[in-house]
Amino acid sequence: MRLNNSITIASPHRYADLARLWYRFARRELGAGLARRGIQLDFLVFCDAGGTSFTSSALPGVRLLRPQPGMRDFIEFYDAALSLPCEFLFFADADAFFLNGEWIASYPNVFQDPDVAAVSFVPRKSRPAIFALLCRADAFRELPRPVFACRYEFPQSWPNGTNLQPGDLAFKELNQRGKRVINVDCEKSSKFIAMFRSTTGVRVTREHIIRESGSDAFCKFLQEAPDYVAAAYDNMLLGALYERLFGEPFATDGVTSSELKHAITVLRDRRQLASLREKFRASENAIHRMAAREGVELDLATIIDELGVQR
Amino acid sequence: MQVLSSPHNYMNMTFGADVENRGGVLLNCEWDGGRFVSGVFMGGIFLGGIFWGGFWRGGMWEGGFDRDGIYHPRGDDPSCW
Repeated sequence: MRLNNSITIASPHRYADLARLWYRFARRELGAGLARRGIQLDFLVFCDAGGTSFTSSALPGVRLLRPQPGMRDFIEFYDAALSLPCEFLFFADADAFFLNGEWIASYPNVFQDPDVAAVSFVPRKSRPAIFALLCRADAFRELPRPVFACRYEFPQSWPNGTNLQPGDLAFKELNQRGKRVINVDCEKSSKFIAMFRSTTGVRVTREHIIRESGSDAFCKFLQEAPDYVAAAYDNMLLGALYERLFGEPFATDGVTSSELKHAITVLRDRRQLASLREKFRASENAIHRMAAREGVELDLATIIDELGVQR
Repeated sequence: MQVLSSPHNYMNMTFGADVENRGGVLLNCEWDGGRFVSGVFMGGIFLGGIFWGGFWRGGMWEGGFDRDGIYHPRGDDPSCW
């Protein structure tokens, strides 16, 4: 089978500003790569939590979907998208920024093999994941519902049960049916897709904790969750690019520089600090590559100095 | 009875039937039989967590799993399971 018609690109977003930045890259890069080869692109953005700040003017050419029965959050959205009439479905995470559509466009021919069910362009722990997943929709439609929902296997063994992430069970089922999911490895993937993890998660968590318990409780949470410190830093970097491109503030409800600075300052564990600095550097590299695709230069010195990030 | 309250976060902890939540933020926790009056239970894709049972009187469900490991989305009501 040839992929010669259209691809529905389905992307769930909680925040309109991140969606705007994501779409700028997705439209340009995928448009350049796939549309040039005659493949029509249909962009679908799920406005998770029903944010009213999502507008067609900021996301021209995108179909906006709001939460509704059967599509109450982004997890249910994955299955709802599978019900839409389309031959190929491309799930793209809000944090996955395409840097080279020509590379993506070199893959669709793999679907000439009828046993290929999907291509995973960004792995999780070296295994296929839903972060950037091009699917042959029919292969997934044959699986038991819900197809993509996360779940716990062996919950009675808590906390040692297996937490299957979205799509993990589907990949196992496909494998049992003799279908293949092509898994692009991390090294190759990172050359063409800039991935920032949990940038949405940290904003959602802040919203909830501050509403329930106030800013001090959130600062305490950051101290206990170094991964979220890295995600908060990523938001600062994305914000720098966003403001450069759109001339507007980014994530006004997000982690403040003083909250982040405090979390970095109180972190004492040397290993955690070293790991954090490594993540910071990787993210800085990624944001510079994004800026280069835009033809702009980003000066991150102000952010780095303000946060007191030791090099 | 142990009472969980605001402004406290509870991460990766297990709570039994003798616990009442009044405003605490629970992240990646196991909740087994207590009384959930208010607060936040965050789980799902970000952090995980299982709501085993008990009285759900309010609060905000941000996503997580029931005793069978099945995911329930935001806004669901654990008292209906």
